[in-house]
Formats: sequence, C-alpha cells, structure tokens
Amino acid sequence: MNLEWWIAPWRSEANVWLVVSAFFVALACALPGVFLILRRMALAGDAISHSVLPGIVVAFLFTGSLDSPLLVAGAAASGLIVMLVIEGLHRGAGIREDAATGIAFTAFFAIGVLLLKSYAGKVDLDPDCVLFGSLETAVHGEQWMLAGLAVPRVAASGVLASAGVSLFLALGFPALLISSFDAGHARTAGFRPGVMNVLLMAMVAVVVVVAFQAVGAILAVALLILPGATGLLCAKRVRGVLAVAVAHAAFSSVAGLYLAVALNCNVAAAIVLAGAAAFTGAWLFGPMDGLCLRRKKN
Amino acid sequence: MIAWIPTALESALLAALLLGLCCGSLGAFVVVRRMALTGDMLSHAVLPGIVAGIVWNGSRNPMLVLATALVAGMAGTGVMHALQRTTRLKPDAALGIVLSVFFAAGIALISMRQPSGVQAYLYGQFAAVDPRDLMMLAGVTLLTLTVIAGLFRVLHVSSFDAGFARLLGYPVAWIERLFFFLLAAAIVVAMQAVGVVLVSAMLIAPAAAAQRLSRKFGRVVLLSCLLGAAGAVGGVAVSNMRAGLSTGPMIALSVTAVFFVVTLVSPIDGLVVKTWRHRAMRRRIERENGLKAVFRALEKDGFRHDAVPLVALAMQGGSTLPAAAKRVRGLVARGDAIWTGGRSGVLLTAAGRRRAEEVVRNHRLWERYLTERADYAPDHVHDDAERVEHWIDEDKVRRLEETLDFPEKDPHGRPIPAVGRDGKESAE
Amino acid sequence: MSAPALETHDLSVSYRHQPVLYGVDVAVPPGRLVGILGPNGAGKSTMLKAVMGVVKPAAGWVKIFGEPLEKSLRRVGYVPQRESVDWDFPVTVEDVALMGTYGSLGWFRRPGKAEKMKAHAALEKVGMLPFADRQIGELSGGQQQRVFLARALAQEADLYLMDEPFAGVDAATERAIVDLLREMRDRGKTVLVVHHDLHTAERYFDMLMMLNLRLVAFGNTEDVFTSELLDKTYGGRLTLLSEIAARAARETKS
Repeated sequence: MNLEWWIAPWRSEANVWLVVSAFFVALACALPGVFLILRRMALAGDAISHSVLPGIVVAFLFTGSLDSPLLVAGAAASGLIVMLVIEGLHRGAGIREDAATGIAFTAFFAIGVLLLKSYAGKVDLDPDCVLFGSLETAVHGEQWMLAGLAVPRVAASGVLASAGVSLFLALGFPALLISSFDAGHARTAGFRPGVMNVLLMAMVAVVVVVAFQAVGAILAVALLILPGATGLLCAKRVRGVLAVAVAHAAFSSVAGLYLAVALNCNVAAAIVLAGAAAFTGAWLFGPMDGLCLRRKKN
Repeated sequence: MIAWIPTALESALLAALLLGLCCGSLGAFVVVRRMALTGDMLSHAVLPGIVAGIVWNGSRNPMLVLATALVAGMAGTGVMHALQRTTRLKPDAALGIVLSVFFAAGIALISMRQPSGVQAYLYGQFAAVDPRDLMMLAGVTLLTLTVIAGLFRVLHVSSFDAGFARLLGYPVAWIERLFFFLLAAAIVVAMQAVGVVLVSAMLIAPAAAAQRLSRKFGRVVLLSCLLGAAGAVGGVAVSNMRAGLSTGPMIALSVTAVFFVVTLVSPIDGLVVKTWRHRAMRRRIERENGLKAVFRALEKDGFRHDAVPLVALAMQGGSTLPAAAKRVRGLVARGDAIWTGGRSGVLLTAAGRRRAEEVVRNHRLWERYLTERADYAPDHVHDDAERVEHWIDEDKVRRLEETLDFPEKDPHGRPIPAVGRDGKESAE
Repeated sequence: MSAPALETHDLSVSYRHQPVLYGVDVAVPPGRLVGILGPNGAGKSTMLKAVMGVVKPAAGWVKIFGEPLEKSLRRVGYVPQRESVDWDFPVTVEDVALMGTYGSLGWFRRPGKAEKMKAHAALEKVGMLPFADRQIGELSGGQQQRVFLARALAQEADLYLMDEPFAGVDAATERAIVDLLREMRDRGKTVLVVHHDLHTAERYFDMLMMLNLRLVAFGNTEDVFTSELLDKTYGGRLTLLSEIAARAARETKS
C-alpha cells in the first residue's frame, strides 16, 4: 500500500467528519466507561445502552425530530428507570442481580423495538440503527451551522457530550476516584458514593444516546468498555488510564476509517474492531499484565 | 404419510411452543448458575459464526449455520476465560468486551458480504420460520429435553456444586461442554425467532418466575418449561390480534409479563401474599398488645377483679381513652374479651386470657434469658422483649424454660405466668 | 467528663434476615486502644461498618463524640479489611495516602502542596515513602497494610476503625503497627482494632470489646481478659438467641 492509499480517505470531507464524529462519540463514552470498569459495573453500561431505546422512540414520537434535547432526556430517563427496576427486583423481590439485569433490559428493549415497529411509518429511525447504527448516514444527515462551518449533527452532539463529560470529570474527579476505590472511606470523608453512582449512571445514559445514533446499542457497549479496559492494562494510575482511554478513542476512530475502507464494511463495526485490535495489543504487550512481558519476567 | 403443511400461524405457534420448552428448561439451569448474562454474551458472540455459515453456503443450511455458530460461541467463551485468567480485568468487563467485539465482527462480515437471511438472526422473524427451521427447532428441543431428563441428577449436582460433583466421580468437564453445547444450540435457534438481544428474555424470565413458585429444583425446571411455553404461545397469540405488533418483541414481553405476574402472586413470596401476611401480622401484634395491656392492668390490681375499667387500661397502655376503647372493641370483636359495662370494664374470655398469659410469659422469659444467658443489663432488655415476644413459638418456649431451669420470676422480679403446662396447644 | 469517642445503644444489625449483631450497648472512652475480639461471624467487622454507617442498623443508634453519625463522620478514619480492597485498582501508594486528605478538601478542591506534604509525612511514618510511586497491587501484604495506615494518618481523624490490620503481615510490620497505634493513642486518638489473635490481644490493647452476636463484655483488658469471659465469647453461638432473633428479624422486615 503506497502513500496515496493512506492519504486518499482524507480527501473526502465526509470522511474527515466521520473520523471527527467517531472520535468525539468514542471519547464521550470512554471517560465514564473507565469508571464503570473500575466499579465493576461494565454490564450496567450494557443494560443502559439497550434500555434507552424506548425513551428515544417515545421522545421522538412526541417531538418528531431526532435533534430535540428531549431525546436525550427521554433516553436518560429510561436508562435510569431500568437501573431502578433492576435495583427493585434485586433488593425488593430478591431476584439475583444478573437475572434481574437480564429481565429488565430485555423487557425495555422489547418495548422499544415494538414501538419502533408499530410506528414504523411515522418514524424514520432505521431499525438497523438500533443494532449497529449508521455513522455514514449520520454524517451525511442533518447539519448544524457553527461559526460558519456546516457541522454534522452527530459530530456536534459528540463534541457537546465530550465537553460535558470532561467538565464533570474535571470537577468531580476526586469524589469519583475516592468513591470508586473505597466507598466506605468515601463515606467517612464526607463524600456520598450513592450520589456519585447516580450521577455516573446518568452520564452513561446521556453518552449512550449520542453513541446510539452513531454506532447502535450493542457497539456502544464496546465504546464504553474497550478504552477503559485498554487503559487498565497500560497504566498504574487513574489519570493514566483516562489518558490511554482518550488515545484509544482517537486510534479507533482513525484506524476504524482505514479498516472500513480496506474491508469495505460498516464503519461503526470497523471502529470497534480497530479498538479491539488496540486492546489486544495492550493484552499482549501492555506494561501491567502484558502476556509477552510476563513471559520475559519469569 | 399425510403431508401436513402448516399455516403461518400454526407454524408460529408450534415454533413458540418448542422455543418455550427448550429455553425454559435450559434457563432454569442458567439462572441457578448465575449465568444470566453469559447467555446474553453467547447470543452476541455466535453472530460472526452465523454469518460465516450463511456466507459459506448460500442456501442457509441450518445444520451448517449451527455448527459455525457453535465454533464462534466457543471462541467467545474461550477469550472471555482467557481475559479473566491472564489480566486484571473483572468478569463483567471481560464479558462486555467479548459480547460487543464479537458482535462487531459479525456486523462487519454482514456489511462486507450482505448475505440474505441473516436479518432473521438479528431481529428475529417468526414469519421466516420455514419447515426446515421447524424441524431443526424440534430436534434441538427434543435433544435438550431428553438430555435434561436423562441426566437430571448429574446436571443438578454439578450446577450447584461442581466440586462435589467431581468428588462423586462425574465427568464435570464433559457435562459442562454438553450444557454449553445445548445452550448455544438453543440460543441460535431462538435468535431466529426473537432476535439477538431478546433471547435473554426467553432464557431468564420463565426460569426466574419458576424459582418464585417452588423451592424444589426439579419442579423449577418443569415450571420453567411450562411458563416459557405459555408465555411464548401467548406472545404469538397477542401479536396475531393486531397488525404491527411484531412477534419477537411481543414474545419477549409476554414471558416478562409472566415473570411479573408470578412475582406478584407467587404463593411463596409474592407481593400479594407478603402484603396479606404483613397485614395479618400487624393485626395479630395489635391483638396481642391489647391482651397484654389488659393482663398487666389486672396484674397491677393484684388480680382482685376479673375486669379492667377503660381508664385503667388507657393508663396501662399510655394511650388516650378513645384509643383504648378502639382496642377493646377489637378484642371484643375477636372474641377475646367481653365488655361488661362502663364501671367494671373489659373482661377477658378464656381464649383471650390464655393468649395474654402466653405473651406476658414470652416477654418475661425472654428478658430473663437475655440477662441470664446473653449478658444484657436488666434495664436494657424491655424494648427488645416488646418486639420478640410475638415470635416465640411453643417449641422455643419449652427450650427457653429448660435452659433457664423453669424460672418463676423475670429480671425485674415479676412472676412469669405459667401457661400451657396442661399440654394443650394455644388457639392461634 | 468528655463525651465517649463511640457510643452505641441497642445496636442491632441483620444481614439477609439473619442477626449479626444484637442489642449492643457500649461506650468507648476517648484516648484508648481497643481490641475487638470474637469468633468468626461474631459481628466484629459488622460492628465497624455499622459505626461508619456503611450498613444500616435494624435497631439502635450510634454516636461519635456525642454527636450523631452524620455530623461527626469526618472525625472517623477507616482501615478496611485487606480482602475488601481491589488491589488491581490503578492507584499508587501516594494516591492512596493522598486520599486521606480528601475529606478536608470537600467536593471540588484538589489536593495541593500542603496535602502532598501531609501524605508524604504519613508515608514516611509508616516507612512507605520509598514506594510512593508503586501501584498498590505490587506490594507485599505488610506493605499494603501500611499504606492504608498512612491514609488513616493523613486523614487526621480522632476515632480510627481498623479491620484486621495484622492479617497477612510479617512480624516486623506487626510490631511497627503496634508501636504506631500506641503512639496514636498517646496523642489522644481512639483506635478500635478488629483482632483475632488471642495470644497478643492481652499485650496490645488497653481495653477489649468481646463480641459474639451480642456484647459479651467490654472493659479494661486486665478486668475482662479472663478465661470465663473468653469461654463465653468463643464458646459457640447462643442458638436460642440467634434462632429467635432471626425469626423476629425475618418476620418484622418483610
């Protein structure tokens, strides 16, 4: 492959936006995802990503637009409700947590699919989006004018979500760190681990809505978990893990584009596969648990 | 042989029935093993295998698809275990990674080769279930039920306690593989009907519901089958009533609805039963506290009278006169007491008197036990005895009496009433 | 007379409808080094967790320096049981010690130079400063225990709760920890230590709290470290107490 092959994709403005959108969406997911992993709540991310669907569809039926902030609100609401249902089934009815999670999020997802199909005529939400999104069409879709630049909506919402998440982390980092590491100690230090938990879940619900339109419910799980998992295998401090996660998001979006071009396949899937490759690299050569390094040590 | 060509509805109903039986029976094991989310992982991880199988042989040969799906499922499980073994990642993260990355691989393959027929596995298409799929489904269901029935004890033991199963000499590794094979096969056939995400509902909801109906595992498996079949068939029936209600999500919702209904009305610990029990308990405690108050008032008076005036009762209970009157009305209505008029007051019937003595005995016996055996200070035991006195049954009373060598006084020097020594059980 | 460092009244805790602690009344005077003794499952760790408010008591209350729990939480320092810590968590020794100062910083302020010095001083004290840059999973058991002690020191609390700080540590570390605890006591701190080595309990602690579902005894070590009370503490559960208490807890909860 010559130099031209590497440069060609960037000649198309759409591809540039594709990478920009993918990066910011991935970034918005990666940062809260790190804390999901640290708290052993990766599967709560899975549950939320599926259960935002009815919220999105209902909000869409009311507003008739995919841009409305109500969409985010509706999705966040249904994401939080599903967490409450899981908690209620677990604590109140004594159902084991894994079973409660499985029952609750599949039910929400089923309601979402049912609504989507029942109102198929009125909704131009493509059912395919639900499972694997379509970054390509999103980039070509609606655009916002920002400072004289036509920005695809998906990129703009990715930037907004990333900014929001970064602000949240910048302000709440100590509280989030201490309550993730040792909830008992966080309590005695005057922090409220329960509050931090709810805030984190709300944040995950918001970023999942953004990711939903770009990569769909299931691949959003990869965007949440892969960067943090890669970071965990590379860094010994949370700041380092966050930095690696950001790098991972950047790498996945750029490498994802090349992979999509090379294989001529769905970009969202390509981004996840590129991210998986980076993760595998960390698994083999990462400074923390790297399989190859370990062999050398022994 | 008569060629029976089922109508679309008939084949949908038949498929739902088989699916319910198959997923329900396996689901019972999945839930007791806490593998609910592993099932979810498997349904996503088999996707690249399914796509590869379809691409390989354009005619969508179900056996081939099943075989390649199994390979992908095994690979996914292997990667998950490897991640858990060799890295610091916790099981939840390992599971999430395998689930989403394998799914992404499947999506990438689909978008590259655009095979036809893969849609059914993603979203579930009941309408697309053809006789070949039905045969496949029937085969998997039959195999599953046969294996579970034949190896029930072995599967049961190794699900609850693999270590013990190994000691018994069971080939646990092979049993695990067999179970995994059946589960993956069931997931692949169920995906065609309800789609990749909602398979989990079919596996988990009926089993979790069955667990609320019985504590015996054999019955749980049976009930899980039945509830799964009923839920799935109900879902098909409902979706058939109105156009636009797609069958897959309707089935998932239907089994979930079964779960919620069972959780509400289960005779073991359903919310309805719990609420009813709770109210009965509160009525009982109210009755016993009323009886106790009357007894204490009688005792204060040195048992010189048989009846207690309302004022004395109110003073004893530290309550207002109307509250005391309400209490008395409750006792009279239940036949525990007789109202003999304003001056003499309330008179306990034999049954009421007996229960009153029992409660006071329980209270004082417990106080005595706490101070004598459990190192509590005498001024700290009253509040606890107020709570516990309602929950000491006759057997515990005997044991308390024996432990304390049939005491006659409580730590405060008040007599412990002697009741029930005539061997008759109290009327509760 | 100042308020007790820790006072509980009728403190009962149930876990899954099984009573773990039952009706514990205790008042710990300030400035003592107190050992909590009892067999496995006697509620020792639960006692600490109930004091911190991590588990909700089924009945009773807790006061710390005469004030309700919520008001005085920041005066409480905590050293968790080793098994409950995620040693793979990406934090360094310095990070953990620094977390001790977070309580005084509030929600939004970041640790600055003063906090760093405090954390370093605490690490120095436990001899862990040379390891400040290590991830906590790379340390030995004794070193890990010292790191959490440093965090507690940096917190500058008045009441310390320590869940088995001697578990899995070498003899040298154990001696160092004891010296440190005594020094803290001499500076007026109150230290509660869950302990299960009877051989050393008598030497280490000023006072002993003996638990076995209920409070068997609490008092000066020389008064309560008797074979009779030890027999009572370790002589198995009072089956009637736990059975009847379990029934009451189960029925009144649901």
